[in-house]
Amino acid sequence: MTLKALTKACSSLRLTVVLLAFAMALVLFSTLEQVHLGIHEVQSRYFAQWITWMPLPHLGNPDGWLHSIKLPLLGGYTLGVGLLINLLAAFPRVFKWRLKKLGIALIHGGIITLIISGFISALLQEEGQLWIPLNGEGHYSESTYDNELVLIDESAENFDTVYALAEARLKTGATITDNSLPLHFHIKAFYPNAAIGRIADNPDAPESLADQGAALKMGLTAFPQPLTYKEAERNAATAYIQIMSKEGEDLGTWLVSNIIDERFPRQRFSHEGRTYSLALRFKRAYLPITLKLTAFTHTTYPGTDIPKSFMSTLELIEPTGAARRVDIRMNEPLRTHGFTFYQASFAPGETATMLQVVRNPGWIGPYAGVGLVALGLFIHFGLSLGRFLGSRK
Amino acid sequence: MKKSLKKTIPLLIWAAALSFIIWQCWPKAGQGLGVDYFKTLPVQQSGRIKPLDTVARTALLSFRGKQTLKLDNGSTLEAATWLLIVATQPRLADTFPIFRIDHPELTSLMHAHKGQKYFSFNDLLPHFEALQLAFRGLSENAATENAYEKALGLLHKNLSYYHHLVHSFRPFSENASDTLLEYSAWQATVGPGIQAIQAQSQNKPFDTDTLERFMVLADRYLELSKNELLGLVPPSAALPSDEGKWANVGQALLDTIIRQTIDPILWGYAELAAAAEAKDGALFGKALDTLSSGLEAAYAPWRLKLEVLFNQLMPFYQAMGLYVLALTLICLSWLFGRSLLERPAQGIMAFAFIIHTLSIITRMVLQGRPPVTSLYASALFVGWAAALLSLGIERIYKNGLGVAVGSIVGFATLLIAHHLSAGEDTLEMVRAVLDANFWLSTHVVMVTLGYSAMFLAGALATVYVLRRSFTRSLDKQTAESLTRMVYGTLCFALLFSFIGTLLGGIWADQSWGRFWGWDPKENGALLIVLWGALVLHARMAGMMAERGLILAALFGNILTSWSWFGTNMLGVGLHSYGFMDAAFIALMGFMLSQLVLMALGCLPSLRAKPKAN
Repeated sequence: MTLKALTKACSSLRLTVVLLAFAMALVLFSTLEQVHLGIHEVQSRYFAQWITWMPLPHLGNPDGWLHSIKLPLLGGYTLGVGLLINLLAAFPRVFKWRLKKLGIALIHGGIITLIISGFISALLQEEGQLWIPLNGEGHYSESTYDNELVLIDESAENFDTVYALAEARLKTGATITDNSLPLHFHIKAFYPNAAIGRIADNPDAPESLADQGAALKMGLTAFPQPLTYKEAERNAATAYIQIMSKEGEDLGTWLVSNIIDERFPRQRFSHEGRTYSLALRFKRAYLPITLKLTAFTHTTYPGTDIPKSFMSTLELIEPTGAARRVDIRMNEPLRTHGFTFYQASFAPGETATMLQVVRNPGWIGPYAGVGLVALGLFIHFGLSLGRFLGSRK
Repeated sequence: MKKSLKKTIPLLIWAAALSFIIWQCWPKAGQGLGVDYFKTLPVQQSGRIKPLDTVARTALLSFRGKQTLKLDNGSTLEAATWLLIVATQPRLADTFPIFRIDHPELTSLMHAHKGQKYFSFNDLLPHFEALQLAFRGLSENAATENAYEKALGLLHKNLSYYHHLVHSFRPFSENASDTLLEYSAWQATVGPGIQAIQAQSQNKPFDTDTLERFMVLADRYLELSKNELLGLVPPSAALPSDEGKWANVGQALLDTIIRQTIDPILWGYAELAAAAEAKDGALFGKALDTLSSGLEAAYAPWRLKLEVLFNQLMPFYQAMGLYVLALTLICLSWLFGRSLLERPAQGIMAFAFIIHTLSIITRMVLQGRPPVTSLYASALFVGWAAALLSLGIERIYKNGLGVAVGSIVGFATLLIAHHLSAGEDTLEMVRAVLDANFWLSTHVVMVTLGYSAMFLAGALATVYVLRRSFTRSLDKQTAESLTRMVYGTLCFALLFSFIGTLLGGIWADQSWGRFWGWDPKENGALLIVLWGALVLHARMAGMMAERGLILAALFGNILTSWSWFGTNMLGVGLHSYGFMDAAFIALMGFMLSQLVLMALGCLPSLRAKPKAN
């Protein structure tokens, strides 16, 4: 195949039609999958893939035979890259810089921008939640899906040293030894979702592997659970972690879980004169600023529960210590230091606010893409309509 | 002879259409004493200030599926007249057959005689114990309800709504004259009661009886104020409310503790009831005067009068009738000669469109919001835009096709809107996220315009397929011009859907922090955009000729109905009875009909091919 033939194949309209048809199938089937898998899981299973096996619609019964038949579809990555190649290859051949073609060129330029910014968002966008109690402060956001195992060295008087391990490294049976870590970890068991309960209350309770910490003191054990995909539920990642000194001495096994959070005392231990604590928690992203909630206002339409507006009044404290007042409302986010804070939720009784914290270096991309597309559409359709009406006369 | 016929027939059609509309709008039921005043009185319900006329109509719609009340003696009551009776003579109102009950299990629970569909409050009264027991078994989860539980749930809702309506105007007394006495007694108790409390707290002597009477009444009014009664008394300078909340009868009576006197509006309603009970016309008029002059300051009367007029004219129903008339005329014109009937059909279509337009504008004025704020409003708007586009097509091609498709889509969407309103107040408030926002407003308007164009293209394709399969009227020229119309309309659909979807992305980025979230509704809109793009590119690549485009437009109907309604059904129990309810069946039926049309389009014509001329 010559280079010319290759370019021609890549830029063909037939390829466009095929890719668009695959895109429609992917979008339709994955929408149906969302009913029982939720948006997040569907995204990682079907969109963030090159090739994906898509089950047929389950028609209300995810365990039925229809749902067990799977079709191979192009995943979101293949479609994005494919359309990008198709568009870029076609660009020099088809789109001449004439007024008649200007609209089309702008539209497709805008679509290229949208696809690229879609990839940027998919790869770089970070999202988390920031709960701030009334009159309290917040300076980090927490992921709703990803977890981290942290070993906190609390020996210093004014600061903690945090060693964090991503959830992906927590595999049952794995041993984590790294020179930069002060201690070694052995993952005796890791459950992506589990319930924690008292052994005494459950005659069939699985045996606890812990010989230290809260589990031992309170007689707790972990009950492994299937993963949940419901919007309102979180998976309680749970693990039994054995800590060893660098020399291999066993310091004990702890039960850690993201539901054993700040409400409980830290699980502490000492080794060679240093004090450590151990926790499995939702992954944190530290913010360059601190936000303090001074007021939360929530109004409803009179005589109803239909919300009319939500607003958090906050004090924003810069790294320099300078402070100023900011208001975050529904539809009116705060953008600062590359982060965007959106009003997302609040605690009953208006005692705390929840802000959605998003960091997306490519956020401007869609706006540019939309601008190009809109301009192109108006030029193109305006010209076509003018020509059509002109030809009728 | 022929020439005069040509002139008279259009005139006759117009005369018939206009007299039909006037007959439709003319108030049917006899107007009782002062009902006209009564129905424009403002109250606050579900956060909105509305005339009592709207309260009456939506209540009757919810209770019995109609906006009027037919009595056993054959006479018909206007909704507002019925509500006036509820407010002034509740014992009489209890005998009216206002609750429609269809489910056989439920009617047998009531030991109803065969065929009885409408029940009065008094009919139901003996069975309250059995009903209470049944209500208790109702589950909280609406998604898992079966038809019987749905009917039971609706009856429960309707009964408590009726109860609330009765008690919105009088707290406890059986007779209206007693209400006046109760108010006077309460007013006389308030001052001494407060003094007694103060004395008690300062350990001074006080009258125990007075204190007790005060406490008992205040407790009762407090309980009453917690119910979802109509807000009767607007906030005033003396008693401001930061959220603009109107006091219901319980709250207004509690406010007497601060005001020291009963609010004149409350007196007004009580006197109105007493006058009605005593059949005293003069007193009745006086009470109405007190009420309307007292409330005039609180809320602009022109708005209330406009809403009452809007309720009475029912312009969307009139437009619906006119769309059907236009469609009938244009079909007749194809059968019996275009010269005679085409012009009146175009005229009637334009008339329907004008009514449709004015009605949407009136809704916008009453609501103070952009045109599309709910699924119901989107149906009105889809029809309106389709009618506009098809009038454009008609202006260009002048062959009746625009009238045909425009009237089909206009009628169908108004019918959908009618079913979506289902006894609710269609001018309801909007949630905070959906509150007026530039990106959101433009987004929904654009996306709905996209739906309109998509449906219009589908309707044109339907005309193509039906004429090709069942008649010999589809000659080469008509087929080509239909194809051009479909193509042009599809381009419009792509334009609007694409811009609408992108605007939605901007709105999502503004309020949620992500341009695109793969939410079912977003995906639905994306499907339409992808389909439009696919069709355009396939046509350019030579993969789609005339019939391919027609089939594509029909498939567009399926996608659009999915995007408009199907995606909304996903959230509520895909795995439940809720999924099998009427709306779902209607949607499936529509999709199936489009598949049948597509299959017809693939088959050779059922009639011999006409010769090309």
